[in-house]
Amino acid sequence: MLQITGRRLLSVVPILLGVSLVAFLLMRLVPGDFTLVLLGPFATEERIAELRAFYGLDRPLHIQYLRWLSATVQGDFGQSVGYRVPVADILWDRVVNSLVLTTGAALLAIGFGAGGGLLAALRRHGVFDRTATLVALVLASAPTFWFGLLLLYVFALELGWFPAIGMYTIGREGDILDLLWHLPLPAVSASLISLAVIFRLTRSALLDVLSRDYIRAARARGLSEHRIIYKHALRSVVPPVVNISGLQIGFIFGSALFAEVIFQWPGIGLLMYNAVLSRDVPVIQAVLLVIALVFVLVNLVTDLVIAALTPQARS
Amino acid sequence: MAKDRLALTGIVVLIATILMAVLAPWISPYDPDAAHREIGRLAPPLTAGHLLGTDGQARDVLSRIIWGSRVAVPTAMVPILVSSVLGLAVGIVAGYFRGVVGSVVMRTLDVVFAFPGVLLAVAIAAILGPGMANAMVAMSIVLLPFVGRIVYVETVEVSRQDFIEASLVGGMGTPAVLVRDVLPNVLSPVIVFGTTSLGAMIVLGAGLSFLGVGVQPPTADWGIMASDGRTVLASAPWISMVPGIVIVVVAVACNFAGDGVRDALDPRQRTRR
Repeated sequence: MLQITGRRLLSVVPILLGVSLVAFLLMRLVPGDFTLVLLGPFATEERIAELRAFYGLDRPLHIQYLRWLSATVQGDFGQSVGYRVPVADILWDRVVNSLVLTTGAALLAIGFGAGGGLLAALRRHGVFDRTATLVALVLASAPTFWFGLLLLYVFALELGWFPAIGMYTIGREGDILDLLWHLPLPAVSASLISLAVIFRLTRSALLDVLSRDYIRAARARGLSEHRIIYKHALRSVVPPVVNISGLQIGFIFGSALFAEVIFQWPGIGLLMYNAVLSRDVPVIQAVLLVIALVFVLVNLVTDLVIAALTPQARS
Repeated sequence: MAKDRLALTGIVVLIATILMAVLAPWISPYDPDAAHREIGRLAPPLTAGHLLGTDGQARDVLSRIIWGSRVAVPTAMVPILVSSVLGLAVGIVAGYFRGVVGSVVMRTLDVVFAFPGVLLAVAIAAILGPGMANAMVAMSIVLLPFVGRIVYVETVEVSRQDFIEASLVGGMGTPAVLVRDVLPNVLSPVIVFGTTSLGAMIVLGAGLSFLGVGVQPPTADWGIMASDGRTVLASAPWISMVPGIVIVVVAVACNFAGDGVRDALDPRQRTRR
């Protein structure tokens, strides 16, 4: 197990280097010169040259990349164009806020998705199975922003059960109860697609296991249905469900963007949205890096959990 | 069978959407950009003469939905076509030659996989600048690694088989083998992937314009229409809800149709119901 952990950790390094290269090169894709974005159209030649030298843009590309990489690794993401402060100063609070939202959404998606999937498979063709399968099909294809707006309209604007925007009521920052009151609407809208995906996978995984020969053999041996399901079938459903759940956590962390924009949740999605509107490239770059890092790490942990659960996956 | 009926319904809705896009100038009741001052702003659905009401600028919503399909359909289809062609090229080359070439190609695709798709598309579209063409470029980049990986796996499988060897021994050059022997054998999973991702691409395209990095106003687009409705959500919720429902219906139809195509082309992956 230790060996696998080491090997997987090493395999992450080239991916992360690649990720940093992509984030770096994306910045060069900005049409025109990045200094022109900073200085505006009336900049003098000398000022442009000065700023280019300041950012090292007059150096060869690989030197620029290495300088940028070494700064980034040390937590220096450069200066935000819009906020006029170092990106690192605004980034980490936002990351924490996004993790709160992601945790809430992931718990909902995994709990209801996996739980519902198991129930549906056990009562195959029952009323719950048929309704849930159809609902999951629609949820899996619908846009997050539409759910968000629907929930916002019904539960915040019409019924008034939950606040429409934000993470805390002004003046109650840090109050956990207030946070829990603000969390449900954005968390539910960020979770629905993943919930549907996890539901569908769990359901078909259990159905698949239940049709296998060893389950039939267990039935033939006269084991109770209860014992077959809890001792045998559920055990082999765990790895695929862990796998998809891990993938979905990364997916939620990235695509919570829409929920954050609609409910003005101060996470990195909203940060990125505002950065996109003001073309604040260093912020976009930092957000991309952080999200890819979380995505890769979640996948790594998922892989390791699966390796720990299934002997075959260890080879 | 119930499943075939779903697939058929999906295909019918999909064809209707494509027809709507092609025939927009003839079937649209009004000019999508014209303001109807006599009706006023934010008229609710079922207003006489305006089946789906009018928007915040007194424009006919039904006409804008119809014209919006002219954005939604190509923005979803073009990236699928582009990424399929590129994915076939890189996947076949990487899967046939493997070795250093294969590793370099596949590791590069892995890097793109390390970003959540939606976010990468938003970032690329934002950096290239808003607009329909750039949104399509961003969506193609996000799709490419999926197609590339599918083609790679299939190609590795196909190139081990005897008939490839036979063609090479028979004097056929490598490029000819790749095109005549490998390509037809790896095509069907790509078609399956393309059709099953159509719904997701319609949603992604609408999402990009919802965030303001896709098509730009005043172009009629479903994502922009949903976004415009945010400011009047309390007083006129239908402004956001109508385009949202249209997106859901079309996306669900695409998925039904896609599942049907998958079952027809790839019996191994037949979904359990």
